[in-house]
Amino acid sequence: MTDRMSGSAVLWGVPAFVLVWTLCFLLTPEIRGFQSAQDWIGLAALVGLGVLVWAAWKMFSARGGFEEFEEGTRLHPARVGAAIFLCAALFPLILGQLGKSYWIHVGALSLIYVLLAVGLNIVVGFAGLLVLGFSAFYGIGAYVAAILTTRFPDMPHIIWALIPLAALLAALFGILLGAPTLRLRGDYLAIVTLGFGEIVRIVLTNWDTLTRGPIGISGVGPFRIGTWNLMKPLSLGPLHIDGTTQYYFLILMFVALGVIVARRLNQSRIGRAWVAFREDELAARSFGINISKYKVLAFAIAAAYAGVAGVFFASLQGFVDPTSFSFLESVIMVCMVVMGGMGSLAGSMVAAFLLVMLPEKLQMLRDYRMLIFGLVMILLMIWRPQGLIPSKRRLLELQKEPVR
Amino acid sequence: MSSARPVLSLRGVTKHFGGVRAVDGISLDVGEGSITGIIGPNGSGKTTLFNLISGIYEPQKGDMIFEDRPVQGLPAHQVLRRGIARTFQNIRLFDQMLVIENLLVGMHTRLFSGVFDACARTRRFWAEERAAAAEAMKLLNFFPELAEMELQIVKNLSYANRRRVEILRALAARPRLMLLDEPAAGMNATEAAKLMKDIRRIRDRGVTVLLIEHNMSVMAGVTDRVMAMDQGEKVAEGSFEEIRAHPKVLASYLGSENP
Repeated sequence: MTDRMSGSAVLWGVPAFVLVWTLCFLLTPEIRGFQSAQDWIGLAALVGLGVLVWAAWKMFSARGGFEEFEEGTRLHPARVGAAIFLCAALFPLILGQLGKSYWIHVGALSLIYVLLAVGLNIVVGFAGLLVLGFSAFYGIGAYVAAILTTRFPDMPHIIWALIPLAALLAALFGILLGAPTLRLRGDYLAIVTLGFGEIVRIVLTNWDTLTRGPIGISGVGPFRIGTWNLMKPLSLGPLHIDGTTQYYFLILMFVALGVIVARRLNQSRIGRAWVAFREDELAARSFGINISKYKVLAFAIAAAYAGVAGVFFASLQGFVDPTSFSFLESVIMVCMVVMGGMGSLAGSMVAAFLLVMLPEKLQMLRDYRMLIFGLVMILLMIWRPQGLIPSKRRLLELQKEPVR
Repeated sequence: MSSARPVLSLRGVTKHFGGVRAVDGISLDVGEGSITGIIGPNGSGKTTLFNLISGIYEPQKGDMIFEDRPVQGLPAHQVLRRGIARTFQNIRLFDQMLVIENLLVGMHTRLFSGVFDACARTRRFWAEERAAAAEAMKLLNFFPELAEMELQIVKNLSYANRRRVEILRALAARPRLMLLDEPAAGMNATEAAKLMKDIRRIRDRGVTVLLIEHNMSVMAGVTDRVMAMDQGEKVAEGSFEEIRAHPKVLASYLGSENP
């Protein structure tokens, strides 16, 4: 009985704690340059929040962490997912009430990166193929949305069709990249994918007639249903929801879908094949796994995630230019996967949030941001090479159909 | 003794690496339901021969007929589909995966769920996964030492248990021919004696066994026939007793200058 209590306490407590912590974090005073009292208060608050996380983690792991509660089916993955989803949905509503719409925008951007990180995790984490040009697929998705919505302004609904179209086109490029690189692995593959990323960026920069080159494309169409424009504030009786929040919810839906798909693939014959050849390619081949097929599949699926993320990015920003799809972006995406834990979906999500939100919050570091970023990565790799939330293989619960 | 029908026939199988004649014109018939041993000093081409049979290398010359159909030139994943599974000299398991998952990978070619089945978790997916997990659990009973270890990460297992999981992973593919590459390596006398029983039990499941082994008591104890190799060539073939007394075999092992 007590176990069950603790189970649901964990189920709701952990996401709630994360939500409250994130809100507190975002609402601490801006630190600009340590000249006013506000900067020092901001710093103190940041340190305080850090200590709070550390203490909470110590307490939690002292009581057995997640292991303790896994026995009771209370922590069924579907329930945990629902709890996190609910807290994520509350996030912009609370911020909206506090008038912090900028942070809702950052939140929506974080969700786009969650989608990217989860997608990249399929190819880097599950299949163990280091891809350093992932922003190319992201860019392809974004430019598909930008070009087609601006070319067909009298067909505003086209953007919905562009989600699957961008996914498909990106997947096609994924196959184009995956097929010739089948024999490559590790560092060689990383360099080829890096080259691919640069090619796409350079094409986007120079194909003026299609992409308008470095000027970029503005006026990317918003999502709309009939007269309802998701970019425009929406009044539902007393509730006032601004455009960014609506986008946030739209992207959240796709993130949920993306996470479920990645998770289910991982726990199937396909995921086992990916992890098997990540662990030992020769043994995997000897056990009937057609490596070529599964490598290309991993590339295609991951690229599709990036394509979809690109459409949302283009429409959310209303503007695209090649600088958003640089090599640095690709590196940051790989960092998200590595920092979260290779093959760990939860890790990718957390790391994506952190790596988008932290730099926004640490604006005062400006030029030193990348320096600190590098330092954090080095320390993390020394102390916790398995990542923030290390992946753990689990067998699917086969006894009962899930839910309740 | 080996029965009349050979399940695997090698004819002049040859593989050179540059100037090195790793495997040079090997011919061998492996009788159905037999346990056939391959001995030879280190570097005599035994493992290369296994890599040729299992499709990791392609022979430059020669024929390999398995169950009346040629298997030379087939990629490794198709060789397994034909019914040949193997273990490796230096255990090659999927270290980060669960014990049971390693067995499920062994069943890969017998499962059919695609991307859609996996994402939608169709009835076919559930039925297939349940049946596969049940079969894997049953297979784990083959080694009582692995009882209740199905959810362990393979990396954390003892050396002997890792060897056992490797054998089970191969059995999970339901092969008709199993290639065992030095299964007794690193085992003490008691464990090796146990292994002999296990190899016989594998054969009793209807699996023909081809065995590379340095441990001569294992060889003496289980094999119906033995082939001796040296420098890529077949030196002799016969019962273990015949091979042990064969002058050429003695020469290659003792390194005699003038046999």
